[in-house]
Amino acid sequence: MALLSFLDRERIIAKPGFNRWLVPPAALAIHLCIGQAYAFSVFNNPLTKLVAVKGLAPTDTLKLLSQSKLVDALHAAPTDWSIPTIGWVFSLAIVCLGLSAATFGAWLDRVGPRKAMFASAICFSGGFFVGAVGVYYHLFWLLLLGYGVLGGIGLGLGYISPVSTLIKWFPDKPGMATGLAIMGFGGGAMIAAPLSVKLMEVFHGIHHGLGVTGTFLTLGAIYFVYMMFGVFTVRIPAAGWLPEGFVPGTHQHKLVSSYNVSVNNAWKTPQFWLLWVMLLVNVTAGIGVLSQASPMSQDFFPGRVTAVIAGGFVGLLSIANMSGRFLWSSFSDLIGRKVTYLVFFTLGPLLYIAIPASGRAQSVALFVVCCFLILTMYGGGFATIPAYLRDLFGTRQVGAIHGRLLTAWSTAGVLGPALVSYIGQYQTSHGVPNAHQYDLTMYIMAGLLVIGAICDLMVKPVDARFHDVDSPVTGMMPTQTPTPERSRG
Amino acid sequence: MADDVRFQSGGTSASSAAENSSKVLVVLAWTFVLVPLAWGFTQTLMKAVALFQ
Repeated sequence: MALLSFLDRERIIAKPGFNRWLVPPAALAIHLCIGQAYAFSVFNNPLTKLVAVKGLAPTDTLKLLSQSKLVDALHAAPTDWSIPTIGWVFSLAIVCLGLSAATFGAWLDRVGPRKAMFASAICFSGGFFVGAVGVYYHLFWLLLLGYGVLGGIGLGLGYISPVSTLIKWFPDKPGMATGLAIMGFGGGAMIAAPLSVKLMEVFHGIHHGLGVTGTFLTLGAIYFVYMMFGVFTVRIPAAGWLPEGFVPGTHQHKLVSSYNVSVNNAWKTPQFWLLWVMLLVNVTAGIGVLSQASPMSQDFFPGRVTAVIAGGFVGLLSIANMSGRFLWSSFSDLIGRKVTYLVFFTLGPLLYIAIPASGRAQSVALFVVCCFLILTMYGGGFATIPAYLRDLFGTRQVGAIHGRLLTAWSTAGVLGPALVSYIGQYQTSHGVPNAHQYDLTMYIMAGLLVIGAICDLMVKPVDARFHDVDSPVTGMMPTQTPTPERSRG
Repeated sequence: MADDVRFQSGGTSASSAAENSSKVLVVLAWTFVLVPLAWGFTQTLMKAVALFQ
C-alpha cells in the first residue's frame, strides 16, 4: 500500500553521514514501552475488586437469589477475578511474546525494523484498548485476548525489532548496543509502575473500573505515540557499511563466525539449543528470586523488613535488573560472551546458596547484595544473548534466530512460577517453617545454573557445514578484503 | 539534504553544519528517552531508600 510505503525497508537505509547514535534511542523508545509488561502486577489488586466496587457484591446476589431472580443474579453479579486468575494475563503475554518473536523473526529480517516496530505499536497499544473494554465489561476472555494475546504479540515484535539493527550499526560493540536497548525493557517497568498508579488515582471514581479502564486507554495512547518516535527514527545501515576506524577481525574471539548462518540452519546446530537451555535456566532461576523477593525478605527478617520496605526492595531489584542488562552486555564485549555466561553460571550458584545463609545469619546486607547481583545477572543474560548469537551465527538473520531463541523465555515464564509454586507447596505440606521455606528453591535454582555452566562450556564454533558460504559477515570476508563505505562513529 | 551536500561538494561549512545538526538531533533523541527513564528510576529509588533507613 502506497500509504504505508514509509515503512518499507528501502526507505530507511541511512544516508551517508547519518549518526548511528540516533538508533539506540529509537530502540530504547520501543523497549521502554513494552517493558511495561513487568509492571502489570500493579493492576492485580484493582482488578480483583471490580465487581465489589461496582456495587454488585455477593449480598446483592443473595438478595436476587432470595427473590428467585436466578437469571438476574447470574447476569448482575459475576465473581471477582482472583490473583491467580489475573496472573494468567501476564503469563499469556510472555508466551505470546516468545511465539510471535519466533514466528515473525524471519519476516522482520525481510521487511526491516520500521515495519516491525509499527506492527508492534499497533498490537501493543491495541492490546491495551481491547483489554480496557474487557475490564469495563468485566469480560476476562477479552482481557486475555487484548493484553495477553494482542499485547503479547506486540511485545514479541517490539522486543526483537531493534536488536539486529543495533548489532549491524555497532559491529565494534554489539553487546553494549543490544544492552542499551534491552536495558529499556527493564527500565520500562520502573516508569510504568508509578505512572499507572498515578493514572489510576486520576481516573478513580470516574466510573466503576477503579481507574483501570481509563489507565489502560491512556497508556495505550501514550505508548503508541512514544513508539512512533522509534518507528520514525530508526534507520538501517547501507550494505557494507562499517563505522569509522573499525577494523574487523581485530581482537576477535575464536567463537566469532566469519560466515552468516541462516535461521533454518541455526535451528539445527547444537549451539542454538545450548544457548536455548542457558537462557531457560538463567530466566527460571531469576524468576525464583523475583517472584519470592517480597515474602522472602519479610519471612527472613520478621520485624525488620515490613511490607512497605519489601516493596522498596523489589524496586531495588528492578534497578539491578535494568543496570545489569547494560553493564554485563557491555562487559561481554571485552571478555567475550562465553566467559560472561560462565561468570553468571559459576558466581550465580554461590549467591543462590548464600541467600538462605543470609537469613540464618540475620544479615540484611548480605541478603540484599546477593539478590542484587543475581538480578544483574538475570538481566545480563537477556541482554548478552543477542551478541552471543551474532558471534556464532553472524548478523544476516540474527533477528530471526533471536526470535526463535526467545521461546526459552516463554518456557521459563511458565516453568519458573510453576516450579516455585510446587516447591513452596511441598515445603508447606512437610511443615517447614516460613523462614526455611525458600532454601530448597534456592538450592534447586543453583543446580539449574550449574546445568547452564555445562552448556556454556560445550559451546564451540559453528561447524562449517552450517555456514552460508556465499554470505560472509560484513567486513569479515575471509578470502578478500572489501572496501566498505564508512561513516561517523 | 544537508548530508548529501556535504558528500557531494565536500564544503567545510556545509559539513560542519550537518555535523552540528546531527549532534543536536542525537542530544534531543537521548533526552526524549532518558528523561522518563530518569523519572522512573528516581521514583523506584525513593521507594528503595526505606530499605536502608
